[in-house]
Amino acid sequence: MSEQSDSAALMELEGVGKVYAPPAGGAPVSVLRGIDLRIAAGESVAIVGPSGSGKSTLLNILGTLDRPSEGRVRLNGEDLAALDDEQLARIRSRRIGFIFQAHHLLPQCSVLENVLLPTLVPGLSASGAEARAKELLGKVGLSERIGHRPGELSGGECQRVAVVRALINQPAAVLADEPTGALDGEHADRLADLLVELNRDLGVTLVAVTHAPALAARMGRVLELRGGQLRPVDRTS
Amino acid sequence: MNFATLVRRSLRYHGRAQAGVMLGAAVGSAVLVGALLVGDSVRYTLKQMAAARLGPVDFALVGGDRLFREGLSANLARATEGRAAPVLLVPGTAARSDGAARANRVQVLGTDWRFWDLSQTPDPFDSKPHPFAAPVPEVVWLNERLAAHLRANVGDEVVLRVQKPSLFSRDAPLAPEEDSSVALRLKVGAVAGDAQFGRFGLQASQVAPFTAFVPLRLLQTKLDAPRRANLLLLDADGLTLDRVQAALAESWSLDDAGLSVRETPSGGWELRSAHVFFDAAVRDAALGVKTSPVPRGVLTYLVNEIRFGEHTVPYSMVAALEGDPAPADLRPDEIVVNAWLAEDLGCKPGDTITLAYFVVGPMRTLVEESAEFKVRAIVPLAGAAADASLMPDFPGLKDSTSCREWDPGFPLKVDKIRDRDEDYWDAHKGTPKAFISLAAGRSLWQSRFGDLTAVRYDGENSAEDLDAALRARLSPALVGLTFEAVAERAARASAEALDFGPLFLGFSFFLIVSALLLLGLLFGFALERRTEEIGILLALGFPRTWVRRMLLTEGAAVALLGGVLGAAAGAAYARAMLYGLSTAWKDAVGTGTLYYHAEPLTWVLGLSVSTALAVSSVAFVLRRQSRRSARELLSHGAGLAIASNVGASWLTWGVALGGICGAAALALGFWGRRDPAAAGAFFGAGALLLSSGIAGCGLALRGLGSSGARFTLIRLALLGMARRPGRSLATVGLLASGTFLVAAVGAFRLDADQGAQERHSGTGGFTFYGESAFAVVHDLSSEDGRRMYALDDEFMADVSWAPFRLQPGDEASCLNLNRAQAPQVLGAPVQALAGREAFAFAEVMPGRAAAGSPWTLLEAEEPDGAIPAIVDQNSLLWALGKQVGQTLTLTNERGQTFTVRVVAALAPSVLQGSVILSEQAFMKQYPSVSGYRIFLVDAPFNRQDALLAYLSRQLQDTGMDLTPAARRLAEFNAVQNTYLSTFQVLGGLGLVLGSLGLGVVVLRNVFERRGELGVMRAVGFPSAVLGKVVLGEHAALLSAGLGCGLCAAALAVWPALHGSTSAWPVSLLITLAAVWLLGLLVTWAATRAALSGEPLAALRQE
Repeated sequence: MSEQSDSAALMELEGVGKVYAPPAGGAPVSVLRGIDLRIAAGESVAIVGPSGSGKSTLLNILGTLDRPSEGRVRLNGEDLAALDDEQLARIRSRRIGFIFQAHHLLPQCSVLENVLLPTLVPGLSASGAEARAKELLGKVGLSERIGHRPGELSGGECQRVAVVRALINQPAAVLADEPTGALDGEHADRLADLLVELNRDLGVTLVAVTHAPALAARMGRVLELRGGQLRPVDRTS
Repeated sequence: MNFATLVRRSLRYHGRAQAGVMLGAAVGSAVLVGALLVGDSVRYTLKQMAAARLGPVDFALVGGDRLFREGLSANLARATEGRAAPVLLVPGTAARSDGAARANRVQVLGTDWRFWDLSQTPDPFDSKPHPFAAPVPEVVWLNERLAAHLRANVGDEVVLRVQKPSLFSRDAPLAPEEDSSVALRLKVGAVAGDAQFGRFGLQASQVAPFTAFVPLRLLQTKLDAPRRANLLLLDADGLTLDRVQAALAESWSLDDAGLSVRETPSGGWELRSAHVFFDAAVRDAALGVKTSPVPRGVLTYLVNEIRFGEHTVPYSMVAALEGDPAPADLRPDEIVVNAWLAEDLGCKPGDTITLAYFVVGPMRTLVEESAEFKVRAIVPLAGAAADASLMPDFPGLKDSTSCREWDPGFPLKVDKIRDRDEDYWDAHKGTPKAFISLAAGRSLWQSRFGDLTAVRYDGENSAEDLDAALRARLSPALVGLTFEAVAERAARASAEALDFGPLFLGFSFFLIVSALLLLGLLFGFALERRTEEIGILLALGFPRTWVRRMLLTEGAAVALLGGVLGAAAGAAYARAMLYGLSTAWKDAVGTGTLYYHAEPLTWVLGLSVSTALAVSSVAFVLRRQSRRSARELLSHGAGLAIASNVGASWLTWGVALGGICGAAALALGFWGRRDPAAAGAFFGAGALLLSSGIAGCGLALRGLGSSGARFTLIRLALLGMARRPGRSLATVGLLASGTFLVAAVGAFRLDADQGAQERHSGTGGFTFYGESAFAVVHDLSSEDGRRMYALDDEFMADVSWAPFRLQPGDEASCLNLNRAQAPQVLGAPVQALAGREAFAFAEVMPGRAAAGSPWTLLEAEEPDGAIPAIVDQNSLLWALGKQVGQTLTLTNERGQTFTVRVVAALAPSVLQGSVILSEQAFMKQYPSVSGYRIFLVDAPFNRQDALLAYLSRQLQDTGMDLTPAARRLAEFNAVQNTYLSTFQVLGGLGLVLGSLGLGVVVLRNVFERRGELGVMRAVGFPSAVLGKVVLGEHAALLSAGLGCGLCAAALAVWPALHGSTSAWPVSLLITLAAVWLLGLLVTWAATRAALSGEPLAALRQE
């Protein structure tokens, strides 16, 4: 089953499968099976599905945090299979931003420092990073909080900081794993607005794994993962 | 499902996490139990040594120079129904026949089958009575220590030199000067181990004396003491000392006390003493015998010269007596001369003649005095006036065939002896040439040895009656024959010995604390991993106390299991400590022989205490952790709330600034000083600097948290340190305190060489400390003394000696593990010591502060009649268990007790180990002690080596063991220094354990931050960079802790380091470096473990 966009592919999965060996032994569990997926630059995609269907696994494979058991993963046409962990880390630091359900901000650092954290990855140029961070924080309405510590922010604010952190290195894609999962309704809506806005304004490809229909509805394309297979969701019904 | 099942399931499920807790409990238990087992083992060793030292001997009659009949042994065995062995024990020296090795202060024991029977050893000398006279084998058995010292094997030849016991004190007037030692060249028959009485000795010590066993007959023959002994060993189980004394009172004879009743030429009887002079007890008993006429005292003395005008007669006996030939009304200034003398001098009644004679002062100084007498009468040389037996048995005179052979204890002016004098000696021997009243004689010639040389009984008495009457008036104790309950004393000495259990507990304190800390950290870590489980239990409605009890039960079960395993490992720890004490730390115990021993009660006690401590640690951690609510525990964002302050900042600033100012003030105030007060002040300054440093680290951590600085990886690591400032500060504080404690005890390291030439130092400014095997009776500082030992006047010009009298006893120094029961006593030259203000005093009794040197307090009188004494402070506190101002009860040579009061305590010195009295007071209690055996030698330090070689050679015959005073002090200091080293090594192990704790802190920190680290990994941080950040944070904490402690310790030990010959022990620096490296390694390993495997698992778990 292939799910592809018409534009030039930023990310491409070809026949990707993932099999886990249960820790206690027994038959291997096949989570993903023969997935083909093309995601164009600037596209926004939501991946939905029941718990345990392998959404996060798929996202991690897209984000090079995990490797497939079979199939190919390409980023801008480059096959990632031959790259080692450090090379993958380099790709992530330059081209992919992550947003998780828990924001995982460093409590000892200020908001600004948390945002600047990815710029410390060796080999990256940090020039202009601080200005960009301030600008992005301004965009998400946190200009007044840049000196604050995470402990002094609300959950929604923390997640907004995490979004800015994901964007600081100007990635081509932002992968979000249940970004609104830990937020209440109002904060979840505001974050969804923000993500869509950033996708639109900055042209950043956005892939979000979510259970939240509201967030999924605001994405350009919605794919459902079920039984290890990916299929488009009919949004007209 | 019930409570127990839940606990069991939890234990099984969390077994791996709890393994660390069990390890911590096991280490704590092992160290605690092990330390107590060291105490058991040392006590047991001392008991075993006491048993090996005395075997079945319960009582000992120590005669010293008093030689009693060998047969007294059989009498006592019968009277007590026990076993008795006569022994002749004399001091001696031993040397290889090739002169390659030599031992001074050897106890030479003349033994026979009765002695060996006590040790259940076959008689090596085949000495049982034999129907045919068997030759006495000329062999010697050496004990292991002496054999090892001499490197002598069976069949080798050794030369023993022993001193003849002499009843006539060598200090007494007219005592001969001749060398009283005898050499024996003997083949080594065997080497006696502990089972063969090789450890035999009367003094409680863990160090066996040098002992040579020779056949009793052989020694008796060589010492000219046939059938005599001076030590009687009695195995009389179940008898009390009083009963044994009573048996002695039934069994003894006058002969055993050196007394004899002889018939006089006039048909009467007289009592004479082998001591020549009668001491007060014997005199009073002898004169108190009811006879008619009453007993008459006689005092006969050798005068140097009798002069009348130009005429002189040299070296004559003069008798002071009552009755014939002295008229009953002879006045004290009158003299009766015999016809020979009257003719020689040309004097007649009414003329005044002069007697010149020597009296003996301290250190055998001879002072010639004279007295004038008016000639009352001239008596013919016949009858009572021709009684040669009036001359006592002066050893140097009685067997001489001519006057020129005399050895009266002073240089004879032989040129003055005329043929006429020789003729008189040939014809009349020592018949007195003149007679004075007893009162006059006593006033001229009485000494501490007595004022009579005989008591005469002129009535019709039988010798038997006199013997019985005298024995009735005397007791064995009055003549110096008393039994000592040596077995009981040995048992007390080992039972009251220094307890190594608490000592090693103290040494292991930091190790135990570290183990408990590690246990607490690991338990806390295990709890943190169960946060949600606990939260759910609380959320389900379990009471907080129930949950706490469940976790405590788990923790207690693990602690108990760890404790049991640790207790078993405690045996290994104890064995390791005993091995250390027998080898590297041997200086602390002075013996390489320590037996492992464990009392069941010790296991129970150690296990109980260690488990209680472990459970307390668990409870403490639980108490802190279980304060959090279910909501908190179940909340993912709980970790965000971090403390931004480390305590109140004003307090932290106060401690930081106050500490550094205080440290500077103390250090500057005591700068340049090297006394104990300075050591204490610098230690205090170090402690203040430590507090200041830790507070400074707190401030630094707080400062790290403030924003503004450029955001870099280094800042990220610094911020990581400030993330949990309390935990970081605790890590720094613990490492700093541990390092300080371990390193700064070096401030109390004693350096014997420091100021060794100064009089207030532990050497008293003396160059050598000497102890001789044989008594030296002459003043070695005097010309006469130098002449006696052929010491070159010029070479010895700037050498002076301070001699001490010695009553042997238990060494009451830190070198003796036993509690001294009968400490050795010294008679000190008070004025010599006071004059040079020798030694420093740690404490003087309040109200006794003398205007001059505290030494003079020894000559003051105590209001209650106690005798003032000075004792080295270490001996007083540790070996005697007393304090300044308290009294000690000692026993004098007559078996009577007397009280001494400690009026001052010496700072650590070469005089450690003895109770010091004034020489005068000493002689009152131990009048028969001849000469001097302890010496402090004042000599130029720059000639130390040359003088040591010269004096050791020249004084070889006295068995003089001369040691540089600084070296002797260093031997004492080595005990304290070794204890400090032990503490440092065990403290170092504690620090090693502490660094493992740091590893746990790393794991906890990383575990707590796994999500953040996962994000960092996700955004592209290479794992190596993350590792460096985490490693850098913790390495900085480790370095700050060690650095802080080390700097503070450096200040604390500054006086000990600065200008001293000793440096910080390399082992300590190696230990600290090892701790640092290990800490880094553990941190690295923990970081690697935490970041390896599935770095993003934390993210995926969501």
